[in-house]
Amino acid sequence: MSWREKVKKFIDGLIKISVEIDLRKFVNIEVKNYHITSSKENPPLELADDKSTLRINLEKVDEEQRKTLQSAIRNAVEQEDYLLIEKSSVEILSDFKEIDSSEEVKKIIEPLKDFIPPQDLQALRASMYLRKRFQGKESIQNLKNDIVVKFGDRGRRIANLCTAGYFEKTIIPLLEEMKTDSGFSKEKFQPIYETIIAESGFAVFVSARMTGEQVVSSIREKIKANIKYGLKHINIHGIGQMNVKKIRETVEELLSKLRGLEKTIENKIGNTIYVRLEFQPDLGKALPEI
Amino acid sequence: MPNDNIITFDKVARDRILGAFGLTTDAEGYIVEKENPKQRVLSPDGEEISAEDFAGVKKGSLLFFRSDLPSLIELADRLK
Repeated sequence: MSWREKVKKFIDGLIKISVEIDLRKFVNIEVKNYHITSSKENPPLELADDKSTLRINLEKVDEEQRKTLQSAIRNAVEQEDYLLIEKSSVEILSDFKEIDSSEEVKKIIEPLKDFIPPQDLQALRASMYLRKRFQGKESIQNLKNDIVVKFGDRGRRIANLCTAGYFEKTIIPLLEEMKTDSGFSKEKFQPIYETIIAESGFAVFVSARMTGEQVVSSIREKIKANIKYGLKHINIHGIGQMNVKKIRETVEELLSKLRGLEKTIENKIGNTIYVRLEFQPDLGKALPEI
Repeated sequence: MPNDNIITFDKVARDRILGAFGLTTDAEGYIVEKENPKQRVLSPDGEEISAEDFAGVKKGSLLFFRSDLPSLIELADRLK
């Protein structure tokens, strides 16, 4: 007997014994989705507003019926390949699949899929989802934590670079440029990519955990690293009003102390900020003093 | 919906769902087998699953998966 047949039999059994169920509700209804709950308030069976989802309340059935239904759920998964999934997770899953198959994501994933490690690709897909949710003004801290727990500090850097647009603005153009060289190979791209990830795109990403002193220290260290790589600029990114304030105060402090350091860009969009500082290589000599 | 054959459940029904598979939670909140409470259930990537992070079950020698984003991405790939 299939899951659907078992549920129908279950409903028939319930209807016979329960006065709470209005039989008319379930006649000629084509149930497409099944939802299991356990609540003292709701009736044993009800149709959701969409009229195609049947809600079954395991709290309002007797022990024998509950065991029958639990057995039917297990069989549905094991024998009929039903996916059994918690409601908020199915919403994320559904949302992710839509975003992951969008043109915006494909434009970033497709060019990189054969050139970056599989774990980075997974972290990047998760980060693209994070980015879309952030653009939709949703809170992303839990999702970002998920990425960091799974992929570690490398995942954090990939998420930061992704949300700030480094993959499409820096990494993919660099790869495309390298591919035009006749001697190009994946092996030539990889160390450069590794450096970009390791150095967080030669940028500083200010987080809520960082104090003003730590921001100064991070910028100083990053300027030194960028000079080593022959760069004459540093980008600073932050999200959230506190970080915007922290970045502005820190940058003003650095500009007042370091001659030869110049702020060339400050973009504040919503509660995100991007600042670019430019400098000459000899700035490195002055850095230990700040 | 990512799959035609789908049964969803509320967080409040989690213990009943675990019960359907002969599972319960131990003192630390991890999912274990009722018959063998020392045996914690593992996710496809080999991690123990806390009941709080339990997202569901899929066929494939019964895969129990977590609710964090990377685990759901892995599930999405398995459903392709």
